[in-house]
Amino acid sequence: MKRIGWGLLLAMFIQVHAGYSQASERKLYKRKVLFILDGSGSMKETWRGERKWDIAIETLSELMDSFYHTEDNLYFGIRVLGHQYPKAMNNCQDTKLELDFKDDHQKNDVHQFLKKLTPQGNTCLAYALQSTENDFDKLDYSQNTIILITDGLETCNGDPCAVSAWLKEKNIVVSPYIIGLGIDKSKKPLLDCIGHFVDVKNKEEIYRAVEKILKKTLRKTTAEVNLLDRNNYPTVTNIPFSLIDSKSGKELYHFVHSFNANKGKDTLFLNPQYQYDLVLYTSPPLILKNILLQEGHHNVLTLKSLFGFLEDEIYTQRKIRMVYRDSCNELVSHMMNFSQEAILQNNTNNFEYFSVPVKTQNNIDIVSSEKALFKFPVQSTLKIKCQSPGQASIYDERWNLIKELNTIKPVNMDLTIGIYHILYKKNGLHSQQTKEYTIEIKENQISELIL
Amino acid sequence: MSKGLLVLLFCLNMNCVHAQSLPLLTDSGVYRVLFILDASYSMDRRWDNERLWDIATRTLKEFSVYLERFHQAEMGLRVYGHQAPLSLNDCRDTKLEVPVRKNQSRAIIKKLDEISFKGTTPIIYSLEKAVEDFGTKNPKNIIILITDGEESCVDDPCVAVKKILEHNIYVKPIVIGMNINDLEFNQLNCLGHFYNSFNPGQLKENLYKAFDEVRGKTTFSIFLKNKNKQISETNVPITIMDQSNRPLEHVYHSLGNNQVPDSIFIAPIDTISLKIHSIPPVFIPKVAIKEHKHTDISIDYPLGTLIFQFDTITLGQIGAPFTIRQNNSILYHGNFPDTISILAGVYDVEIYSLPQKIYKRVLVEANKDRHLFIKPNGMLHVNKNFDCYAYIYKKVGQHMEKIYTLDKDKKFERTALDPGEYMILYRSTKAISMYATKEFHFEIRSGQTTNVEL
Repeated sequence: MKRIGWGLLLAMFIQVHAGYSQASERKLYKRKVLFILDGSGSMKETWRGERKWDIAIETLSELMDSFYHTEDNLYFGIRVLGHQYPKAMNNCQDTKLELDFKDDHQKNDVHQFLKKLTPQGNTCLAYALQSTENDFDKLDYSQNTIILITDGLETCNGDPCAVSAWLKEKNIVVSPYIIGLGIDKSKKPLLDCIGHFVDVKNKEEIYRAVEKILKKTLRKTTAEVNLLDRNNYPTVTNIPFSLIDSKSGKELYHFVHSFNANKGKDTLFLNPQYQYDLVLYTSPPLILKNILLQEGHHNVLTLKSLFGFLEDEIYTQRKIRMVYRDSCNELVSHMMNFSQEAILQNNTNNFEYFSVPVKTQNNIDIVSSEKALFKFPVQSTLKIKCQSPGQASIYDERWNLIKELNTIKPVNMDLTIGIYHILYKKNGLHSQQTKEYTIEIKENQISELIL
Repeated sequence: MSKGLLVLLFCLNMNCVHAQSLPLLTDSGVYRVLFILDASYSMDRRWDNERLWDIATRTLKEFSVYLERFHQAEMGLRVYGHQAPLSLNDCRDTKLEVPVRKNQSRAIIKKLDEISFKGTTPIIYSLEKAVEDFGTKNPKNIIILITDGEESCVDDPCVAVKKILEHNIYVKPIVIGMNINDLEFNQLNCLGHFYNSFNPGQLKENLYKAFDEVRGKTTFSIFLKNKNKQISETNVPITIMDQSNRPLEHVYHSLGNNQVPDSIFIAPIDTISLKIHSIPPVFIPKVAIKEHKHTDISIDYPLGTLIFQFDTITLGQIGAPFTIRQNNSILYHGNFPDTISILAGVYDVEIYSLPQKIYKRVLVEANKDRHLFIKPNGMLHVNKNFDCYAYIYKKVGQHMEKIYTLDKDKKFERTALDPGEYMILYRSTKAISMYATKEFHFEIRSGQTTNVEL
């Protein structure tokens, strides 16, 4: 291809760099903790002289600050309820996200900010819970925690239990906790349905309870992915795999498997709130479905992957298209760089190569054979030129049609060595003036035929 | 091999000889007649007070003169049963007395005077020998067998003659029976074109009649009937075979002046098989044709068209290869764009674009076009600035799926991709953590090239 017409070059609009790059995410997954803070009138009541409200906001700010300093990838949000309208107004939609996850909160700023709010109104627990639906950005795929701090029960006739169930149904992934400020034990069941319930009596207890929850929820969940070889040792690596959210089908992580510096196992941080499908990109892909991780623990994912590689004995610079079919003869993949595809051991590994005629090879033992080789047919070139237009076709030795030939332009085709027949009839001549030719295609020889 | 004309015309089987000769379209060409005369002892019997032998030889002499004078036929004479007496029961008693050549009537006449009837009746053995008497295979070779009785040496002459004809359909003989009774009839009827004569006059008549009929050309034409089309489909290659499926000739179907299918001339046989090299091929076994007459063969040929094309035209489109399959076998392997004449039916199509496309149960209807469109591809050029494992993923629904593995040993690679959203997932070969995996997102547009630097 020495000369390209200038017109063609100009016409081929070359687009440079229409993409963007990203490393496979900062190591740790995002953690979001949402406090739902009761700002109803009852929070004006005091414990040992201090308003419950003041105790709560002071404790929260301290904790937030402390954890910000020690934890990565952590975001806090605060939703308050019952603080905008007095009880008399009977407003049952009195809730607002006062502190958004986006903001990076300094301790004092938070405390100052919260001090400006006034606890006064109704306790619309259910409604507040419902509103959290939009607080968490679904696309963030973060690990989400809700900590509800309340001193009383629902006063707005809402049903927090129903809302809680509703949130679960909507696949709003959260881990909810409730801190009850001096709530009667008998009332526990009414709040239990929302999440894990803890009852506290004073500032220290609030502090410790929330701290405990935070410590627990912020424990890092890790995993290692082991790809076992045929002897069951995890020696296999350098294969790409993806982790997909089982429920939504959304991809969460893409990696190319690797060992760490000491040829040891590499550790991944994975959001424990999701159920994963692991897709290992062998050909065809190997899928491990519905993986549930143990929160706060190190999880070991093991895939026994019996696969091998098809060797390319005649590696040339040009691309060879290889088609891989499974035992039901369904098309699995067509590969251009087939020697680099990890082929899954199947009952029958069937490969097709589009030489003329097509070469198929079945039952190649990919895994145990020394060398899994595809025997490429030896091909040579045949050039055919027709002196006048007409009909022409080429056949194999046993007169099976291979294909029709162009009689107007010269034809160059690569054929597997062997014997072929050609039929040719000029336009206008009688059927029985069809000419028959037989030609032998030999190795390393270019054959030419003029019809 | 240097340039120049290289026409290889070498044939692998004997039938090639016929296929390579020029078509015998007109009634030119000389007939080559071999008489096989029964000289068994039973020829002593009488018809109308004349011995069968005398009647036969007399008629034969006249007829050979006629053939030579009016048809310039080459002739020969083989006789059986004339060398050994009946008591010896010599089943090999057959001899080519006069070879098949021009101007042999005199030699035949002379020989007929010299020999006499004697022995047994090895008809089948004589026919076997007769095959070689002609020298070459030629539709103009005719055997005329004159016999008064049945085969004495071979148990089942009908089966035996089938074997002979298998190897050489051209030697189906004309059998002139002399006063053959019902019992013998079945045996002789199957040997060839059989004419029974009940009196001397009829013997002569049959000879002339039989010869006339043989001379009529056996022709046929094939009408490929496609649904509502008035004109036959054409321009498809057809292999004509005998009833044992041995190829006789390979021709391209074509229409003559009046849009009528060409007449094909073949040797007088009553059954042919046809293989039409359509996609998929059609095999029609045992078609009956009328010897020495023209047969119109009509074949249902529901041809449709399968058109592979891009839905828009852009420059720089490459086109992907595809296969058309049926019942797990490949019927056709081509490249986009392409238009294929294919018989009505249901096919599976696989297109090897990236990503690949599988169409199952594509219906093609007779005399209709069926289109398969794909979007024209764009090109991706990838340049790696370091050694890495790299893979191309395409956005499918909610997530990215791997569709291509880049060659890890190549610094630069290019490939055609369908338009869409993609990413390359890559990681240095020397990486010590999976977190070194990086993603590069990009878009491919029809007819455009996207360059990616890693």
